[in-house]
Amino acid sequence: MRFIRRDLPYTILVVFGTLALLSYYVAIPAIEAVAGTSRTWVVVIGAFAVFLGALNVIRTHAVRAYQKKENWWLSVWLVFIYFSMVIAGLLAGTGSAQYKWMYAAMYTPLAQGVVGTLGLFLVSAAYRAFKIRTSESLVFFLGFFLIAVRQASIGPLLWPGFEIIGNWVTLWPSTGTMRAVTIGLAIGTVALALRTLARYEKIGLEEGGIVGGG
Amino acid sequence: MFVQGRTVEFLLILIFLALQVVFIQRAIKKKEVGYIRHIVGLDAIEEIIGRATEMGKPIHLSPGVYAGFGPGYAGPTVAALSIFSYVSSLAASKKVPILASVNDASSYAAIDEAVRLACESACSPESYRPENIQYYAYGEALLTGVFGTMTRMKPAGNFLIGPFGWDAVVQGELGAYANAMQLGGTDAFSNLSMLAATCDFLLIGEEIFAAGAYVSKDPKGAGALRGQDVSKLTAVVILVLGALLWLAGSKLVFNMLGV
Repeated sequence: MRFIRRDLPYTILVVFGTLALLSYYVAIPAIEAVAGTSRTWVVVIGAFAVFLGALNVIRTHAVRAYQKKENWWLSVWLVFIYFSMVIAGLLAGTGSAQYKWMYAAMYTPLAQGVVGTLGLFLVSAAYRAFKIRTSESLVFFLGFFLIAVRQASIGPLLWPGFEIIGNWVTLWPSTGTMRAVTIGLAIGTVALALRTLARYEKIGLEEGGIVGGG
Repeated sequence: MFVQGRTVEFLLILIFLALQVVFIQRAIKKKEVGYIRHIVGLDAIEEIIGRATEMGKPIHLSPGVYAGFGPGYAGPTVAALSIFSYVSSLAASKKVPILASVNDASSYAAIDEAVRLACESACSPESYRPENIQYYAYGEALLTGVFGTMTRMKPAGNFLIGPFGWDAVVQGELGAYANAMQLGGTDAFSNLSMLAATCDFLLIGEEIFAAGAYVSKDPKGAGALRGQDVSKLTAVVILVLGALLWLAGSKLVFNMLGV
């Protein structure tokens, strides 16, 4: 049991992870072939994962509807719409006019509506962030103010210096910080990958949860 | 044998691996953790779980709209898995319900398994409820789901760690509206500011990758962190050396790295 639940997943991870890493640096046809095949398998496994996800959605909402929990009719509606799309896709094909209409007339407007809330949340996040309560938030606010005024067409008209200072902030402090963070991120990613391959990092593949053990 | 232009890159990877192994082995031999710089965001995890325990409310985990194991996103997704695994075991040990919202099928399967195993390891398998780990097919569906979760469940803690995109500000604001204590962290530099604006605690850049080793509080974890820092120092030395040589008219480092 321990082998299946702990050792086997890690062995697969280490073998195929190492092969994928090597295939990027070493030009050996056998390694390239295995790495290429494993990439195809990832797609297949991904498809199984979609099935698992879909199963979770149906199970969760079927149980909610059966137990008549609060707003249970919404769960019934979700399952109904879910199967309507599946049946339309299976019977008429995903390229059919009916399926495309369902997608364009039902999903797209709702999705765009959700994306539309982004503007509202940006404003409320800005209000929350730029209330000057500490010295850090003052720096945060000044950075925002200079960039915002530079971007707004009225800014340089009010005072040309806004454009100069705004450009300076973008070009020097912002770019410098971004590069420092990017270097740290790159090394961090490599370190995490190597720790995972060397089995120093647990990533939810085994009991314990607390990472670092082996 | 080597792909042209990638030999030095490969040697650097081997050096970084060797540094990690050497420092981990040294730490194991010494059996001491030693000094580790405090990462405020990671220290806050216990505080957030404590708050949820006192309030009797759940915590919520989200790896972001771009979670997945494709190129560019696998790193932060694995880092998120590491942190979520730790957070879940801590929450389960205190009987705090765990909610999660994921919109990538592979990540959903991985997080579901990580939460389940974390709950089992904390001797609280009942804390794992499969219906609380929610899968959403699209990014927009994820946000609608998070909207509903935040409004109905009002979690006391919200963990936004992973490859966040445009959803960072929406998920962060939704958590803030629900009065959840929030920990955010992403490798996406442009969205880090969104998490900074909305979250109480922040993991900046590489801190999300160091999290697993940091929270373990064992010599192995400390050794891994030292290895990571020395690797970073090595990269900075190469960078400075390259810049100095370039100023002196030599492109030796540039050519070696294939820039």
